[in-house]
Amino acid sequence: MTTNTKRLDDNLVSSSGSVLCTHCGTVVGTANEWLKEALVRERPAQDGGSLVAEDPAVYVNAPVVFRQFFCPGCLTALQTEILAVADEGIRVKRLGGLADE
Amino acid sequence: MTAFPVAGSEKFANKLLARDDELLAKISPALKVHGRNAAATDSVDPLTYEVVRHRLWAITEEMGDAVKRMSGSVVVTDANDFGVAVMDEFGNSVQVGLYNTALCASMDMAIKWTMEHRSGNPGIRAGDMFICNDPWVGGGIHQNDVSLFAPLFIEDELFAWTCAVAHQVDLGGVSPGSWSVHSEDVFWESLPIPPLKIVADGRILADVEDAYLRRSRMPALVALDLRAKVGANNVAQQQLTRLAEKYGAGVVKAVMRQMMDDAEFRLRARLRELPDGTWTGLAYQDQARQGDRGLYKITVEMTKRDDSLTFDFTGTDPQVDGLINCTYAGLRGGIVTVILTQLCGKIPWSTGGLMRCIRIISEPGTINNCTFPAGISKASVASGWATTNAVHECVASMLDAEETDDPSFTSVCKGSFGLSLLAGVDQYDRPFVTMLSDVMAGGFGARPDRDGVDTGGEVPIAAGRIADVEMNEFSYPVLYLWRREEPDTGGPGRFRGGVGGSSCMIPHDTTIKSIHLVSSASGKAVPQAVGISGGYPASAAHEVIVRGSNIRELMASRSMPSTLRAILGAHEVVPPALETDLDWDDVYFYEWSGGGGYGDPLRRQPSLVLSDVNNGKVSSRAANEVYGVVLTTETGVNDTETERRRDTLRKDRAGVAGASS
Repeated sequence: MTTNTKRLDDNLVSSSGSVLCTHCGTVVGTANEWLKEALVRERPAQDGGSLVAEDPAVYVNAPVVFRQFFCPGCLTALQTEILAVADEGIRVKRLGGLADE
Repeated sequence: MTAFPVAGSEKFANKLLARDDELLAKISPALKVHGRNAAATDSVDPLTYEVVRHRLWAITEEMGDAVKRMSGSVVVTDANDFGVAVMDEFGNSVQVGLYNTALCASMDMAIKWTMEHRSGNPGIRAGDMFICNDPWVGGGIHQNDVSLFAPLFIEDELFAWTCAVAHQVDLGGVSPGSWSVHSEDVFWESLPIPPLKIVADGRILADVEDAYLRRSRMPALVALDLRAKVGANNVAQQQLTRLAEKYGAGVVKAVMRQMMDDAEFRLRARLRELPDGTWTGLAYQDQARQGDRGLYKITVEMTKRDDSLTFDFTGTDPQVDGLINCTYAGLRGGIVTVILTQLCGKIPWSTGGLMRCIRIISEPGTINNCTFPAGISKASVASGWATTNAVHECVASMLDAEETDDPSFTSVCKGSFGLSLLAGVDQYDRPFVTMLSDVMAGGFGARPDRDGVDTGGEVPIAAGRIADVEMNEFSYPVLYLWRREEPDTGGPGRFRGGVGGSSCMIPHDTTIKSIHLVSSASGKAVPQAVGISGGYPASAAHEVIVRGSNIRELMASRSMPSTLRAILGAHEVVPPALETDLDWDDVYFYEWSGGGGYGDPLRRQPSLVLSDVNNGKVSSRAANEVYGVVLTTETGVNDTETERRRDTLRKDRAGVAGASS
């Protein structure tokens, strides 16, 4: 990992237009798609631990999942969310000027 | 039935704020407005500025004290669910009090509307006060938020406005407490009152007050709150007048202007320190009304460029037939509360200046910018709250990208507000209606450098608190089995979200041996306090009623249960919207969420997890299954086994080869 990096969050930095894992240096995405190369795993909403007491189907018709993105190198959790299946892909992050580095 | 537009309602659709000069052109020439005095502005030295600025802030504190001392409502006196503010002659907020800032976020909208529509008829004069609970106009987020704002005249010119707004326990509608879970549109609810002169020449107008109180199931309490707000405005106006007499009206006005300019300047400077970029946030409301099974989203894309922020809510779901919509006032409140708490820790809360840095894009007819006559009775803790969550996620993510040794943001705080309204009669046959405030002890989101505050409060009310159990038992016919922090309600992470809590109670000392319950808690299907940087969300809300329980037998045998499992009976999961009765042998349990986590929980120091387990913040199960920490009774943390367990969990949760299952 180069020293000429810019912090993105607790686990990610940017360098030369790529997004890298802070912990192992693995490239996980690009300027406009930070988690493009990340591993994605979906599980039932109740699999996140003790977060959800009841199956979401008890309350709503929309399918709901527990979804995580991981660094493919060190398997650090990069993003964790519980959301409707239909809304996957809504969460986006882009740094201005990153693509031009 | 689908709500259809009401002709003429566009008069009250007040979301585009007029600039001061535009507003001036719209008001009656009979209303003389105190303008800027260039000479006075130039004469304000830094010392005078600071003295007057702090005095204005102190006046909001005195207003808050006045409200609390005169109100008889536990929601106000013990939970601080009210707001106060001092504004300039055009209604721009100069200083917001440390109470419910979301309620004050749209006060400027209401006052500008009032100046435009009331300055000619019936007129705006010294000694007047206007009441308003129309969220399409502004001044609050749902009908229970009743604002009372007063013009302050110096000589014959409108110099400033003051306001007090508080949650009223009941203003009519089909359900006690006015949060109507059967609502399909606003006509099922308490009907909004657009700005109405209720005080003239310093006296409450009896006919107008009667018309106002007649709608309430608790008119005496609402009347007391009205007087509390009159008192707060009177205190503010006396002190502002004294300030103007001492320093000169021109100087005080100059300080007001400078406070807003300074706030804008400092927020812009803060924003310039942060990286440009775009972040999105996503929040939900589950169930629009009782019996509904929909899941409704609010999405926002926040773009930060140089020294300004744009919040674009395009993609948010259309408004629905139910009680969860909010107007533009709720959307604005959702933004203001996050800006104040996450970005303005060191910047004065002069929202009239701060909001100049903010641009909002939102389509009318969506659930957080609904049009009349959509149902809005739950707006403050429904779409208004969800807007706060979505905005909070964006702002926290932006701040997370900052290189700093002194981070000052949190992951999303308590994701949902589990509304519990109780109504009935006590042991003396006296009627009561109240909103339980317990849920206001939500967990704060984790920070990048420390855990979130356990049961710390909530974002919109900086000075928020909850009523004591004993106060609730004294005021209402309930008996608590417990109220406590709950493990695993805070989002797991390298730093853990603060935990939320739970309350469990039964009817007690009521002559009818029953209590009416209106429950409306979002965030049950999808947890709403999002984690940041891989941190997990906080828990979902959860409510259970144990019907026909053995609680009376248990208590008669001197056995006090401490878990729901220890109580026999029919355990019914409460949906996000339900109106029902709690009978004599029923037990009501509700649990509210904590704050979102920060960072990967497998990177949390094992010793902190051990401490969490010992202190009841995290269960042993979660310590093992989420944090991957192996605990032993002898040594506490087993380091070797913890390392092995974490390696297994990493592969297992990612679903990669070598996983245990």
